[in-house]
Amino acid sequence: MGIISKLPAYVERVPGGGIMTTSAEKFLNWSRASSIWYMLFGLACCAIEGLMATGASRYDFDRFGMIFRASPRQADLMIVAGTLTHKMAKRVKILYDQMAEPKYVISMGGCANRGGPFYYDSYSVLKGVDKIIPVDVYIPGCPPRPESVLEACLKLQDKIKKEKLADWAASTD
Amino acid sequence: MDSEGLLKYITEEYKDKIIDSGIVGGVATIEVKPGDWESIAEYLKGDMETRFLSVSNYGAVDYREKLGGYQLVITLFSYEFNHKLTMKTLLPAEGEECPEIKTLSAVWPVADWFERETAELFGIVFVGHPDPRHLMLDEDWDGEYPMRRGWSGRDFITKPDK
Repeated sequence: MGIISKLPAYVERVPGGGIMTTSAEKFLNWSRASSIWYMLFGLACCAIEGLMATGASRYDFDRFGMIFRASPRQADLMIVAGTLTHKMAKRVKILYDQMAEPKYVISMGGCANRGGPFYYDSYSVLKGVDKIIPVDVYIPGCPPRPESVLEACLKLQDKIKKEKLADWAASTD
Repeated sequence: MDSEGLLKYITEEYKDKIIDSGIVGGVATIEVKPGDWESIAEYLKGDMETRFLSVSNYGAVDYREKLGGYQLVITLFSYEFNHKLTMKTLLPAEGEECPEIKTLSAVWPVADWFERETAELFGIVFVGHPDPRHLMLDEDWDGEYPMRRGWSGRDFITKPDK
């Protein structure tokens, strides 16, 4: 429940009620962190664990306000789930560029983090998604449990809530 | 026909084209000259005793150090008789040169993608191929063939010996 249960304490005691004072920064960050829409986009076996199992009813991404979007234009978060080959790396870069600011990236699983089992003796696999796009949260595991994907999303929410409005304005210049 | 019978039939019927034959792992195996590669494929497909209508596997091996070239290996399968045949040929090549051979995609359309993969990984040129683009590697690969022995490029990291 969290903030909802504490809400009556914050509501201003004015006739009619329904008014709450907060800083614009806090309000914007809170609303952004509570509706991270992720892109429906998987590369390998991690997609089954991270996008399908975690998105389905048992682990339920939706309770954090996370809904998948089938278009990068509507997405805030890209979960890079799986082995990233050199051929796919270009496509991932294009998809990342198509996402609207502010945008975040979660690198999921050993392959996306650093090549995983394909680190040695592989000609086709990119050794880490952070070589092409900036990554906010890394999840270890092969594949990671749905719980760790949820944990990563909570970490990302914490990161979004700490953002400063001034920095945000500067980044859009 | 079992493998022995099949091999006996093929070696008698096409003996002027076959340079080596035997049974490897229970499968009849023949070796032909690179020049006969397409013609013998056509014969084996059209021959009513063999009827090889399908390609199970098609690829290459880098034998530049051992035999002085690339060996093309194709495994054929007949739905009608349920028998298999492995056909090989040695393409002479030295160093970084790209050997040429006639395509089989006119005989078996399924050979198209097998040849595209073999071409990009080993640098073998299939003459007359209808669609000689990259299949699995990205568009930047040019003049680099990762399945060749000793290849090292991109961010290739060789596993250190223990």
